Amino acid sequence: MPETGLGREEVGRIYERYGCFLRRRAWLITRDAALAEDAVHEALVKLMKSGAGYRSADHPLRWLHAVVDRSSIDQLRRGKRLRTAAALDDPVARRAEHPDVDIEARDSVLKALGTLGEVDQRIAILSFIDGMSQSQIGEEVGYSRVTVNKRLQTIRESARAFLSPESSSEAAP
Amino acid sequence: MTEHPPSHRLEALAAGDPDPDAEAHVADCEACREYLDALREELGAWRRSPARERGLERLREAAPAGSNVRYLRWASIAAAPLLVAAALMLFIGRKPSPAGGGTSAVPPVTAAPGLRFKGPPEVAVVVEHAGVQHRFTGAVVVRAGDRLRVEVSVARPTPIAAGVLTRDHHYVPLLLPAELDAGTHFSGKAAQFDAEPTTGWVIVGSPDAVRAAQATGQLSGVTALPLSYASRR
Repeated sequence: MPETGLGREEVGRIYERYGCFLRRRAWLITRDAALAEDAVHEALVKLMKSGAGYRSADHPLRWLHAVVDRSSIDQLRRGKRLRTAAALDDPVARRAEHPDVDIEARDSVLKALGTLGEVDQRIAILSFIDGMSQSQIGEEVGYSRVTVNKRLQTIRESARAFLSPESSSEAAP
Repeated sequence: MTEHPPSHRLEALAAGDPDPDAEAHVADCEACREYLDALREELGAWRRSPARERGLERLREAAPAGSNVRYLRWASIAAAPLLVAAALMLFIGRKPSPAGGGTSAVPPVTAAPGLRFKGPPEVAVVVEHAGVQHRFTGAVVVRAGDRLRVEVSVARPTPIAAGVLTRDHHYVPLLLPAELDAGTHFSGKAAQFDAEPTTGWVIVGSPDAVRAAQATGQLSGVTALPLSYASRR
């Protein structure tokens, strides 16, 4: 039977090398330090169970990010935890920002991430967290640049509608 | 490479992965160089942070791959009746404190993870001390520098508020009044303790009951975990 998981020591080395950026990413998605730690931990446990694909990944960190993205979105869906205020230990101000990321748009889109479909969630993350161009996203998800452009517009509009006062009074996140 | 490399490639570069294309771009791009420097700074800070050590600790304690996950689920189910019995004994064996305080407040009812409890909210307090998290379901002890959060589990949509009420009637909100969906919720805010001794209670209940406790100091309508301060470990 082929080996599907990684050993604890190997996962420990992965955490030492990339843990900072995995946690950073999980925080960007969940906006909560405790949830981000839970998401990273869950992703590492997944690696122990079925992470052998990591060894053959062209871009190991990109591969790990995909695992953390899923765990983070799961955390948001599963916990339905309150995110009414940033915790004291959420180090928002210290974060580095990719030059192609529009921070204001990113923050509003990520707040509405849970309301998007699976493909749009992926496009939103690639655009607003990874800072990928529309053509790079198109290659990643198999769409034309024009389609990616349209979907990003729809995502922005959905986020605006979700965050508008009328919407938030009807259905709090 | 004319476009900026995506974030994951610059992060990988900061972590020490070789990427000649990205390196060439960074050499000519001031914005990416600044971003890379900031990432390296963030990485350095993380390597010295309690969060890193906490992650390693959790990893050491994590169940190994394979069938253990299922085993743990079965173990939880098997242990559930015992835990419920223990919780009931705890509940019956200790009387609620007299209104207005004392150090023995109503103990929260505890249950196995995933077990639905039809009753008042389950309350736990998570205290982070020197990078290590401690979970309390009874009396809470804090020290200077600790951070504290509340964890509330409800079986059905329930309006809840939570905070720290000190003996001198100061109230620090941790969970703003809101209707919580069924499930477990962490407070959006954390309280941090300084070197000045703080004693009181972590109180959780309906927004009206919490407001009443703040105004009168009467704790009969809320779940209250006594909070004490230890000057040394």
